[in-house]
Amino acid sequence: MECITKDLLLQIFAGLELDDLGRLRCVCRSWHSAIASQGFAKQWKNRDQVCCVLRAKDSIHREVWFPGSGARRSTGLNPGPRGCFSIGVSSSHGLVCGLLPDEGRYWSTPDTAWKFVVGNPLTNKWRRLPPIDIPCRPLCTMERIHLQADPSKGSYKLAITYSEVGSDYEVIYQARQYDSESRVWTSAVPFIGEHDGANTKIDGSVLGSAGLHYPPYFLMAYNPDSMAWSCHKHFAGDRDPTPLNESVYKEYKLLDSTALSGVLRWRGRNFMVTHSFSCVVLWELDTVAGEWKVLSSRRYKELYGGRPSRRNSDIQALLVGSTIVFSDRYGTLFECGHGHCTQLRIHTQLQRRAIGESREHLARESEEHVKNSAILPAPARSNSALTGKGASAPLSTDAQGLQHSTAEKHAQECGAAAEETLRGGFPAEGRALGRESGLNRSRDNQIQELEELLEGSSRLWAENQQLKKNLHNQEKKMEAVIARMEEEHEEAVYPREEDGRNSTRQGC
Amino acid sequence: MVKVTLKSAEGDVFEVDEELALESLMVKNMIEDVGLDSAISLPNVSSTILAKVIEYIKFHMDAQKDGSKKTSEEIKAFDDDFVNVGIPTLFEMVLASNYLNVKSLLSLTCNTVANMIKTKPPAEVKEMFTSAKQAKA
Repeated sequence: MECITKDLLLQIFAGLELDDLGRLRCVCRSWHSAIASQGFAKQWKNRDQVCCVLRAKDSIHREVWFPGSGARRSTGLNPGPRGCFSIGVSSSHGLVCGLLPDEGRYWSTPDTAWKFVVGNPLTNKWRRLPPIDIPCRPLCTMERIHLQADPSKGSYKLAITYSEVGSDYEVIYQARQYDSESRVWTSAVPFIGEHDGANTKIDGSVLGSAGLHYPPYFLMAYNPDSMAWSCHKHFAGDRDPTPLNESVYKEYKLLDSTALSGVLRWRGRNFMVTHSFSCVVLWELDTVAGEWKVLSSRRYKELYGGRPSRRNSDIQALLVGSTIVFSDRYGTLFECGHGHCTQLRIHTQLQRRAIGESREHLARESEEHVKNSAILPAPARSNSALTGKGASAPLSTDAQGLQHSTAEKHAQECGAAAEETLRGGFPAEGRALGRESGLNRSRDNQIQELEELLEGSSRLWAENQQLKKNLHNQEKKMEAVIARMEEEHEEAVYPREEDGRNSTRQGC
Repeated sequence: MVKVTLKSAEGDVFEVDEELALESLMVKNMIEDVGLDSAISLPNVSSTILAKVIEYIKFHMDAQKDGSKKTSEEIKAFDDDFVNVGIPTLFEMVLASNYLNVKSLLSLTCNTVANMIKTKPPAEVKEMFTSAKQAKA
């Protein structure tokens, strides 16, 4: 390989993508060391395109996602230390930030410390950051993680912004920041949600934000350089909505709980991504008018193939190269181009694959379930029903139906309702399992969830048994009552039914 | 117009305009050092490659001139055609453009090589590089 010198080789490699480099590392030793060298890490042109470490199903094959090509590709590189599970947390200038699951927390699980790891998938050098303990209150919301690397200095900052509710129900915006130079976590001065007085301009170095306080709409922006919060009032809405904003509200249904996905800066322009129940909206700050304007929007149907479930509704927007990438808590990613913001782009190929894999995943999961359920025969039924629609007739309907039914029929229905509860007891979880592409969840979590499901099912089974028992007792009582009544009044059919209904209802 | 004389590895002599020769930073430095009187010897560049490099520089200089009718598609077509050569020749052009220090040609040839090795498995890439080396030897 001497015919081309190392410098020339690196020049050739500079235009390649991460997975190509992973393959080329296998050509020979000199290439391997050339690619892993520090010099190349700086020379590499596509470093901004490194998006995420995607956790794969086993510990050997990991995937790196390239938003430009829209493909998930396995790579010979080892993106992330062993056990690194997440996934588009943040990336900047070739550096990637991941979350470690062991001892770390799975996003909003309370009472454990966050363990971050920052590294370069190209050189495969990783550093574990000191654990950070963020007090997690039930209402602690909108956690955002931002990695900001400075290639000229060779340093990076990792900022976590979040908001919590104080004792007087005021919103407190907090930020914690890690600096690679000092190697410690520091806390920013908290900003207590008194929005009326504050109205600062978003300056050049805003990195992230913690919350979109609504209504009225305020944007809270955090500046990692000054470590200060600022409050931006000119978000569409406020007290003097312009005609544009009103139409925007109607068109994009912003009034139904709009949440902020992220604030992004790209080539000197400020972008904001919000998501509501129905769609994701991309805004740009018009610096002349001092107002946010809608550039584009996409409905979830187009992005996800359906509405995000309760569990993946917290969507974070990341900027990778010149592409906006969305990631939910389970690492499902979708993207939109914003160079030409008229059209948000999403790779259907990726979606289809995700759906296909989730189907496989479900099939496997139910297999596992059958194995587990050898001990517990009853929940097996509930589990097989999970793959079905999972929608159950609400209990209230049954209760209404009771009004018109006889005692015997009622007894049957009551049993059926209990059965129904058992089968569709976790409609939300059932749907979530179906929708969220299982491929990104760690196996441990799956097992844990399955165990939870099993536990819940067996609990319901027990309840069902109890109900049946009660029913049986009631029936016996009823029979006794009927017998007594028949002795007293031969024509007492009506009161007997009345009694029966009441007693059965109590039993239910 | 001042002419510069370039001498290839085989000893063939190329006479080119000074303006064209200055596109190569290496030749430019040589001219500054030794002047225009003697021929500039380029022992690392063969005649065929030197001819190609001159052709490339000439085309792009013409394209950049005011009043040039060439569209960007034409330039791209020329570039594509220019690098559509065998792997050994391509590698020699990479080396020559690096030696002569012609930035645009270097990036063009490097990108071409990068595109060639992009989707290939390691064994094929290795084969490609080894055969190029043997062809050179």
